[in-house]
Amino acid sequence: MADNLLLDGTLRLLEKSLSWRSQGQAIISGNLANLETPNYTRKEANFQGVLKDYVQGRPPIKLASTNPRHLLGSPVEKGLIEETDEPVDLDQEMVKLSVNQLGYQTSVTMLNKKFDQLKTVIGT
Amino acid sequence: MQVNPSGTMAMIESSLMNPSPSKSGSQGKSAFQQILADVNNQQSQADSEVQQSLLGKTDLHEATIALEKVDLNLRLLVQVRNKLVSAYEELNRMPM
Amino acid sequence: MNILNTMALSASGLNAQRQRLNVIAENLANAQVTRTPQGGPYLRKNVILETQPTEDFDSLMDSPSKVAVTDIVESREGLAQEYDPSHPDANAEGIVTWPNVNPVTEMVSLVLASRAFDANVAAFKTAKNMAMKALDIGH
Repeated sequence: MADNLLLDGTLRLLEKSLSWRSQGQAIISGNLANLETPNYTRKEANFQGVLKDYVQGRPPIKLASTNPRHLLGSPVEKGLIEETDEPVDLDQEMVKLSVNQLGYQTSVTMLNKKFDQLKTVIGT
Repeated sequence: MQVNPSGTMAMIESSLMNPSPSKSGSQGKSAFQQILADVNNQQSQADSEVQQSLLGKTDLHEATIALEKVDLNLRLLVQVRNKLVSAYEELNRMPM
Repeated sequence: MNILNTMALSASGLNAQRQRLNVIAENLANAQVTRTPQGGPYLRKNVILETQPTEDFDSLMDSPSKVAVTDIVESREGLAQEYDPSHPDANAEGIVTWPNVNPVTEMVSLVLASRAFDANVAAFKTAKNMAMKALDIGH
């Protein structure tokens, strides 16, 4: 029963969005690190897509673990990372950096508010 | 008490209002033990999440969220226990 | 990917651009050197940047990749030759060979490297801020 408490849909969604934002940060960092690498094509994080899939209940495409030693702790949602054919555009990437960070911080703040609400209800 | 009726809130509310010593002592005890077991589980789960995070395998926020959930569960546990204890004491006070 | 591992990506970018900066500085410093220990003028150096797969336990194909300087190559292209028999390094025909370092090109590369460096610093700071915010959960 204690487990059910915290399976609140919004909490899970916020937790998921944090994972996506974190992966998005990795993608953007990879793009920026390879800003000057010749023949490098940028990768993109497709938030709207995975968010929609999640909210509408479509199961995410996850890569099956081929090696039993690999941890399934937080598998990268395959739908999140998209390859493009374009080189890295610095301005675009910096905007994405800011937006992504903002999204992450927003989710954390909302998560904190949720937890505060729960604490209030529990009464301590 | 009118609280935002989201699923979570409703569940917490009901568990606090009805720690069910009325049905019989045994049912109250088993509900409590159930909660205890759940909290234990959550705690060991949170521990492994923290480990994974330190190893760099899962993300940082997963560990902090897991720890926060454990904290909330513990607080709930304490509240439920208090309700049970006060219900028991009230039972004892009833004139026989 | 753990947000802390993400910082390693940015660190690789910083490293690569710094090495590039070093090479550019060396080129500029030696732009007028007609005599090197190997004989002949200074040859312009260039870094080769390549992606490196992260040693992630996932080893997913789509994982973001680090960058590294895999090689520093010398180039013989564009060596300028000048007829100046009075120069101490003139050869038998009186021709002096100057290095193929074009200051303008080098400055452009400098600006690009500096820009990329700054971008990676920004990415690093962002990742750090996100991690700090994650630690704030529950407070």
